[in-house]
Amino acid sequence: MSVHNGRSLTRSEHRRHDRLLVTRFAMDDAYPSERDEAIKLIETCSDCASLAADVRVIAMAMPRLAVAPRTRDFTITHEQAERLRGSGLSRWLRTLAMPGWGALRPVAGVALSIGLVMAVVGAGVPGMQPASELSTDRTNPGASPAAVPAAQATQEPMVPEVGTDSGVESGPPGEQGPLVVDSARETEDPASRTLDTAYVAASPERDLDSKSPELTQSVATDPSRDLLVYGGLIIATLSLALLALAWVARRYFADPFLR
Amino acid sequence: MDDIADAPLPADRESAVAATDAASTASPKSERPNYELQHARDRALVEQALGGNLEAFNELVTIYQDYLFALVVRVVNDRDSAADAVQEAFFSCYRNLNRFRGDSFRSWLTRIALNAATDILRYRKRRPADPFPEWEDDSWQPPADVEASPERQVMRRQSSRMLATAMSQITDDQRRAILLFDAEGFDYQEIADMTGVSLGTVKSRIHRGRLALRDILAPDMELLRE
Repeated sequence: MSVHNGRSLTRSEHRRHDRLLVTRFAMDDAYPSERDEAIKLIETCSDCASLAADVRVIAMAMPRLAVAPRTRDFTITHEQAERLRGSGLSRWLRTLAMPGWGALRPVAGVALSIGLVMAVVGAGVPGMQPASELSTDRTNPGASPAAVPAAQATQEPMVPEVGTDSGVESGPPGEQGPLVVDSARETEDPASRTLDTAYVAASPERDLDSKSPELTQSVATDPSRDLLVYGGLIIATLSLALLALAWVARRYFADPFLR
Repeated sequence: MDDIADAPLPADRESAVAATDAASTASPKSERPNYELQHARDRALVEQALGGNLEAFNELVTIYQDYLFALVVRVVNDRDSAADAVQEAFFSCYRNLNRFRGDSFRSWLTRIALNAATDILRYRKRRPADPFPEWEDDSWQPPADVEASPERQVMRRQSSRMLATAMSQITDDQRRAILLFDAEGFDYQEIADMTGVSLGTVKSRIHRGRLALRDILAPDMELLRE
């Protein structure tokens, strides 16, 4: 039991005191706003005062703590140094494993996503196909499935118009194509030239490049589509390789003590 | 503390204030050597070591191996484990010397060694054995005091062992923080940087650790005061 100013302080009262505050105050580490409270505690409670004194004694005694003698020499031999330096590849992978390269994985992840989106968009848009396939189609009598409907769509509205002018009845476009062209050439009608162009698109024997503006335009956009598909694939592959590299570097070459 | 000194003192407060005055003069902070010179020397040695001079690196090892071993062995309380941790720390330091950017090589090296010690403590928690086999070993000696009488040296050794035993009973985090602050003289910010926790956490660990130590040592405080 402590006695101060005629008032007795029991142990249970001391237990309610903020001992951590007294400890902090003892080492001059209390906030200014807490100092008054700490001073009051030390002044009114002898247990708190003795706690403060003891904490200081303990802090002062720490440098006197026993020291164990070193058991071996830790200098590094040339062989150890050589082994620790490692090969150029392992040094490079160690660099990749450094925290400064932590952004590599998210960046590679984003690049992988972009590459995949590019490839999917490039390959998946309906009615379009890579230029490489189109160039194959030009030599293929089967005709491109994209080119034929386009040609038919161009031709169909023209047939009645030509048929009206030249007196030829309308019929299936595939069947009457050559007839229509022949009669149109005879009359030298400007409309027949359009029909002629449309026919070229539908006819595999004719030269596509010189005759069809629609197809010429379509072919002109195909290299960029190729670029999208193959560029995307290249970006995705490189990103994947980077991700794998970063994983290997972190898994096998990161220094566990440099965290 | 001046405003307290003006107030009437209860019985124990006189000794408390006296201890405060003593602490302010004997604090490890006031005994810290000129670290600027050390930093300059260390940086020069690191530069040479980066240039391929192994002798320069080994000079750094020679400078710091005693300090590092003494610190780590207090943290892990086992000399073999401490030796392994210190060796690994120097290996790691050599491998990553080009990553040293800070001002203080000592702080950087200490952080690496503490991480190695932490790994050992984690491993030990997973496989608990004899937790602190070293405390009964007589080879542990308090810092030499040539002027002290034999009786005083015996008392110092006793109080030192008592303190070490108490240190082994507080948490690893508290022990590490107290050792770095009170025994090695690092400041709060340096300890926060080394241990990767906030400044407030460091302070809390130190104060709670001291409070825990006081509770453990309460019956034997007289011996420590000698």
